[in-house]
Amino acid sequence: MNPRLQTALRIAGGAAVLAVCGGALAVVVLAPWPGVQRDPVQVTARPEPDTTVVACAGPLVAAGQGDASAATFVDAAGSEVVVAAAAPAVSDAAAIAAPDVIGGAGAASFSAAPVDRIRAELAASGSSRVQSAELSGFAASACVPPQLESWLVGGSAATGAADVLVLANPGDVASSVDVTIYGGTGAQQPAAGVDIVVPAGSQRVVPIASLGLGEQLPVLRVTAGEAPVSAWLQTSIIRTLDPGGVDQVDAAAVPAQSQTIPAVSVVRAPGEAGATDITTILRMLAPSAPGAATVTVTRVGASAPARTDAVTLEAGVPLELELGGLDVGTYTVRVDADVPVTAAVWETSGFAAGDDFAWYPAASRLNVPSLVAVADGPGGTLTIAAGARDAVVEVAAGAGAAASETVTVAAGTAASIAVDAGETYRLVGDTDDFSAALTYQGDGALASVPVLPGDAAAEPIVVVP
Amino acid sequence: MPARVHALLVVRPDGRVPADLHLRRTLAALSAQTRAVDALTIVICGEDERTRRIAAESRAEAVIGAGRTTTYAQALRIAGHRLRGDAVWLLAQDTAPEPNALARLAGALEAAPSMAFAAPKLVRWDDRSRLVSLGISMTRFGRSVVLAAGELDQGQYDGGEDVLAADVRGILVRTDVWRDLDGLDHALGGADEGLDLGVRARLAGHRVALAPAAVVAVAGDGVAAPPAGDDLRERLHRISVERTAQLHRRLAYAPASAVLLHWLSLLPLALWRIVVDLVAKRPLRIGPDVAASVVVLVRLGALVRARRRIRRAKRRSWSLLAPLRITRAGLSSRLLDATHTVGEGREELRFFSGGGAWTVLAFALVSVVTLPGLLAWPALGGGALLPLRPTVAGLWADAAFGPRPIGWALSGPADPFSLVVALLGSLSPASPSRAIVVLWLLALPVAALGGWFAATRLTTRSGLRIVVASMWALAPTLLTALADGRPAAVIVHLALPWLLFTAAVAHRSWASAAAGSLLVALVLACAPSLAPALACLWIVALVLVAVHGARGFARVCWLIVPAVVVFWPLGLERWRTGDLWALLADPGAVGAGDTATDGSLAALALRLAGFPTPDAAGWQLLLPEGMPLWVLALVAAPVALLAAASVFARRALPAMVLVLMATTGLLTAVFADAVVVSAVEGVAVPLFAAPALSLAWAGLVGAAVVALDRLPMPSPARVTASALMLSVVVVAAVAPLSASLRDASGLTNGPTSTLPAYVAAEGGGGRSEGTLVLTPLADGSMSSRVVWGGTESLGGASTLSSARTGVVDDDAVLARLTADLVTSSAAQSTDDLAAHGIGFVLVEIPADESDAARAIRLESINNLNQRDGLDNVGEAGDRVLWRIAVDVDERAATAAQQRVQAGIALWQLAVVAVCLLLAVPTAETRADARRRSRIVGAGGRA
Repeated sequence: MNPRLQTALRIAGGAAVLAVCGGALAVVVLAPWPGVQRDPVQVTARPEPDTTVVACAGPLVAAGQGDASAATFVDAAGSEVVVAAAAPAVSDAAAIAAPDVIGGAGAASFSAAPVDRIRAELAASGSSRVQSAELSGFAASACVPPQLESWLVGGSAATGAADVLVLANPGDVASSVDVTIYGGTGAQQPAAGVDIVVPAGSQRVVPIASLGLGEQLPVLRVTAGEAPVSAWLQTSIIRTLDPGGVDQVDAAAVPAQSQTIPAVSVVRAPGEAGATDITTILRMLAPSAPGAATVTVTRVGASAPARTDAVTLEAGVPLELELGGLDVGTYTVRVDADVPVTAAVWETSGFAAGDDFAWYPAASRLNVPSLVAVADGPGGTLTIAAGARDAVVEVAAGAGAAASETVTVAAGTAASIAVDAGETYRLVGDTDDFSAALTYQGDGALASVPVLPGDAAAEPIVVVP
Repeated sequence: MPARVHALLVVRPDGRVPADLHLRRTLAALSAQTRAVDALTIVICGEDERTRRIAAESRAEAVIGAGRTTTYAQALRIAGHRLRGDAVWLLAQDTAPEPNALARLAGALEAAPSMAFAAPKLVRWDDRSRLVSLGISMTRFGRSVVLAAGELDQGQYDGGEDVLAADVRGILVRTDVWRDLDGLDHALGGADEGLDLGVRARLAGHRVALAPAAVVAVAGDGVAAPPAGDDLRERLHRISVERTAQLHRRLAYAPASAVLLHWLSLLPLALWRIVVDLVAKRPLRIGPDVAASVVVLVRLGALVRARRRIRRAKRRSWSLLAPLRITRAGLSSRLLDATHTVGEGREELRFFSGGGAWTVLAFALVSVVTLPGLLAWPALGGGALLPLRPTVAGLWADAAFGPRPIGWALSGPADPFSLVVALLGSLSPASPSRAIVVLWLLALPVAALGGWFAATRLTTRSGLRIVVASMWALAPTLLTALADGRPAAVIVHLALPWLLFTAAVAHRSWASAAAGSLLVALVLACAPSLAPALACLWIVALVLVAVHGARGFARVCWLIVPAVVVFWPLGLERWRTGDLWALLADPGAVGAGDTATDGSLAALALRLAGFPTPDAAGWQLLLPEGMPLWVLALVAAPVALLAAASVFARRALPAMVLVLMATTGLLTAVFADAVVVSAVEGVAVPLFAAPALSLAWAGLVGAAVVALDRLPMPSPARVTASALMLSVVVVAAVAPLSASLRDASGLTNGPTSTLPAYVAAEGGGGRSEGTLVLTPLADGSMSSRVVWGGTESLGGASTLSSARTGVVDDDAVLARLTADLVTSSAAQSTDDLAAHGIGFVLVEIPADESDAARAIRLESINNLNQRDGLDNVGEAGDRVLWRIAVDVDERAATAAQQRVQAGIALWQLAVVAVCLLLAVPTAETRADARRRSRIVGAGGRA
C-alpha cells in the first residue's frame, strides 16, 4: 500500500473512532435517558393497640364531718353509670378503690380489649343528683381514659368553695402525679401538689384549698408519671349557708390556638328578677406565652355571633370574661388566640337555694369516630359545633348499631339534637374539624360532658426497615 | 527375501481430510514400488463413492467395506482373514512410500530372521526433509517418546539401529509374528499401537529394527496413529487418545501384583494431573486427561484381554527392555532443544534506573505527610467506612453464604465485596480494621506503582512512565475516594492499572490471563457498576483476537470466568427475585453523602472531568468567591485533547481501545446518577461514579501517553505537553490532599464498633445475638434495622439489604414489631424479639434532629422505658440502649444453608485455586515472556 493512502486511512480510522465515542457521549449527556429508579422501602405499620380503659369519677364526695379530719371525705350521693362499648369489643368492669373516702363505694373502670389489632371504642359516663346541707344540684361526668397530662379549668379555692381534685388510676402500676396550679401569680407547683401517689386501681381526692388557698380562678395542670391517670374537678359552692350547686368538671381540651365550647345553656335571661349577677363567665388560660384572643359567642342554630370580645392574655395567668346579656338559649363559645389557650365556661341557673351551676369545658376535635354515653339526667342534648368547614355528622344510637341520624352543620355554626338517657351514640364526621358536647338542663340541674375523640393512641408509624 | 508381501491399506473417508487425494497419492506410490506388493487389501471405513471408485480402480485383490467407527486395529483384524503371504505391510490412506521403500523394508526383514518387523523413516507429507518419527521408545514410567520427531533429516539417523518400537504406519511385519501377537490392541484407541506391538514383539523374543533407507511420507489424517492437525478438536482428540493409551499400557504392562494399586491410583493421579496441567499452563488438557482416566478406570474387559495377549506371547523378561527405554538424560536434552527458540526479545524494565522507584517513594512521603497520625489509629471511620470484624473467622463468616449479619431474617449469598474485605482483613489478622488504615496510607504509593507498571505496556520512555504514575496517583477520583472514605472505590483505583497490565497481554499467556481474570473479579466485586463497561471492552478484545487470528482466544475468554463464578450466587438470587438491576448496586456501606449531580451541564462537565462528587473533591469550600466550580473541569482538558490526538498516531490500535475504554467509563459515570437501586435510611442513593471515572481516567491517561510517545513531535513539545498535563492535575490535587490538614476530611479515628461496647462485651464477638437499631428520621418515620454481632461491619454489609426491590414479609414483621415497641402497644413484642435472637434495642439520636424526629424519638424512648422485659442499660450522648431481660434464643444457620454455603465456598475456592495455579510463573512462562516485548500493540492488540 502506498504510504499516502496509509496515512489517509489512519486519519480516517482515528476520526471514525473519535466520532463514535464523542457521539455516544454527546447523545447520553444531552438526551434525557430513562433511568432505573427504585423507591426506598418503607412500611406503614399500625402498632398493636392497647386495651381501651376508661375510669369514672365515681360518686360526689363531701368533706368529712364530726370527728373526721379535713383530709377525709364521705360519699355524698351515689352515681349512676351508663356504659357502652362498640361492637365487637366487650367491656369488662373493675372497681376503683377510694381510700380517701371513708366507707366510700369507690368508682368503676371499664376496659375493652382490641379486636383484630383495632382499638376498641369505649365510652361511659355517670351522673349524680344530690340535695343536702353542703351539696345540692346535678353533676355529670364522662369516664375518661387515663392521660399523662390533663388540664382542668374551673373551680375555686376561695372561701365557700369546697372543691376537690379527683385522680383515678385504673392501671396496674402506681402513678406519681404532679399538679401545677395557674393563678393570679402565674404557675405554681404547691408542695401538696408534688408526687401525689395514686396507687394502682385506686382513686385519690385532693382538696384544691391545699394546693392554692384563696385562689379565685385556678386552672390545674395534672401531670402523671410512671402511669397515666384520669382527673376531674368536683366543684361546689355554699353562699352564706345555702348550697349553690355542684358539678364534676371534665378535663378541657389541651391548649391550642383555637378552642371550642360547643354548648353553653343560658337558662336565665338578663333583666329578669334576681339577675343581679352575671350568670355566664368564660375562664381561659394561655399557659406558656402571652397573647391576644378573640371570643365569639354564637347561638346554636344561628350564624351571626351574639357577641364578640377581644382580650389580652398574660402568660400563665387565668383570665375571666363575663359574657352578660345573653338571652335564654344554647350558645357556642369559640376562642381564637395567637398562642395556645385552654378554656371553660361557667354557667349558673341562679344564685338562690336550689339553683345549680355547671362548667362547660372546651371540647377536643373529633377526628375519629367517637362514642358518647348519655347518663341519666334531665334534658339531655347533644350539640355539634363545626369548625372552619361544613361538617356532616352521622349520629347513631346503640353505640353505632342503630340507624344513624345525619346532622349537617354549616361552618362556624352549631346544631343540637335531643338524646335519650341511658343510650350510647356514635359520632362519625366527614371532617376532623368539629367538636361536640352533651348538656343536661332541668329544674335546678345544669351539667355538661364534652365528647372525647374515640381513639388517639394507635397512630400508624412509618418504619424504614 | 520373504516370498510374498501383503499390504493392508485402511481408508477412512470421513470428510474432514481430503481422503481421496491422499489415497490417490498412496496408491500411485504403491504402484511405483521397485519391489511390488504381492497383494493389496483395502479396507474402507465408511461410505464414500469416490474413494470406493478409486479403490476399485487400484490393483487391490479385495476392497472391504467397514463401519464408520471401525478403528485401525479393527480394520486390520477384518482384513487379517484374507492375509496371504509372509509379511504384512501396514498402510493407511495417507502413507505414501518412496519407490524403494518396500524393497528396503523387505531387505531388512530378510537380513535378520529374529526381527519381528522393520520400520521405515516417516517424513512429512509435504516436506520430505522433516522427520515425523524414527522409532518410538518409552520412559521408565511408560510414557511414549517419539524419536527424532520434528527434526530436520540430515541423514543423522541413517545408521539403522535397534529400537524398542516404531510408529505403526508403514511397518512391515512378519505374518507369523503378526498372528502370534494377535495384531494391534484395539483398546489403545489409536495411539501407541506401534509401541505396544513392538513391546509385545520384544517380549516374545523378537527384535525390532529401523530401516532408515525406507522412507514413507505421512499426512497425519488420523486413520492410523492420532491425527496430526493443529485445530482445537484434533489437538484435544490427540491428547485424549494418547493419555488413554498411556494409562491402558500402564495397567497392561504392570506386574499382576501392582495392577490393583495402579487401578486405584488412577483417580488421585487424575487430580494431580489437573494441578500439573494448570501449573504448566495447559488448562485445555484437563478435560481429555480426566476423560482418559475415567475411560481406563471402567474398561476392565479390555484390560483383561490386553494382559492375556501379553501373557500368551511372552517368552522373555521385562528387564530385557530396560536398555531400550529412553533415559532421563536423553529426555532432558530433547526438552532443551525444544525451548531454544529466539523471539524479538524484551527490553529492560528500568524500574530503579528509570525513576519508578523514586516516584513511588515520593508518593509514600506525600501520603505520610497528608495523613498525619493515621498510623496510630486502630480503625478508620467516616464516609462509607465501617469497622471490620475483629477476628479472621468473623471476616470469612461474613463472606460466606447464609444468614447475613444485617437485617431481620435476611439470608442468602454474600456480596463478592465481602470476600475482598475478608482477604484484606486477613492480611492483618490481629486487628483486621487496621488493614483499612494501612490501605489508606499505602494508597498513593501503590497507585503510583500500578500506574508505572501499566505504563510499561504503552511506552519505553521513563519520563512518560513517571508522568503516568503521577497522573494515576493524583487522579481526582482516588483523592475524592480517600477523602470521603470510599474503600471500594479506592481498591478499584489501585487494582485497575494491574488489570490493564495483565489483561492487555492475556492473549499471550495463561499466567497473564489468570492474573487478569482474578483482577477482573476483584474490580467487579468492588464496583459491579463497571460490569457493562468491562463487558463491552471484553467483547472488543475477543473480536480483536479473533480478527488477528491470534492463539489466545480461550485465554481472553477465561478473563471473565472467576468474576462470573464469584457473582453467580448473587446473580441467581437477583434473577429469582426478578431484579437484575440491583446487581449493579455499590457494595459495602451505602454512603449517605450526596453524590448525584444536579443535572446541569456544568455539573456534568465537572463529573466527566473526573470529580465523582458535586463538591469537586473539596474545592467547593476553597475556591474564591465568584469563581464557578466548573473551571475545575479544565483539569482534564489537556489529557483529553492528547487522548483525542492519540488515535491518529502510528500503530494506533491500543490508543483506539484506550479511547473506547475512556468512553465506556464516562458513559457509565453519566448513567450512574440515573441508576438508583440503593437506599439508606429511607433516602435513595444513586450509584457512585468514582469507579467508572477511574476507568475513564485510565483510558484517557493511557491514550494521552500513546499520543506523546508515538506522535511525531520535537522533544521540547513532548516535555511541555507532559508538564502541562501533569501540572494541572497536581494543582487540582491540592484541595483533597490537604483535607486532613485543614480538618475538612470526612475521616475519623475509629470507631472500632458501631454499637455500644456493652453489646460487643455481652455478645462475645459472635454473630448470634442481634441488636435492633432504631433511628428517628427527619420526616418523622423510624428507621429500623437489625445488626447481628458486636458491630456493623464493612464485610457484613449486604446489597440484599441496601438494594432492596420491595417490601418482603420480613420487612412487614420488623415494621410491626418496631411500631409495637415504640408506641404504648399492648403487644408482647420483646418476647418476639428474644425468640428471634435479638438481645438489644438501641435508639440512635441523629446529629441534626428535626422536630418530627425529636417527637418520635422522645415518644419511643418514653415507651421503651416503660415496656416490660426491657432494661435500660445506658445512655450515651447520642444513643440509648436497652437489654432484653428474658432469655434470648440463638440465631443459627440451618443445615440446608450450611450445605449451600459449603458448595459455594468450594466452587469459589476451586476457581481461585485454578487461577492461582495458572498464574504461578514457571521457567517456561518466564522464558516465553522474555521473548515478547513489554509494549502491547506493536502488532497485536491492546
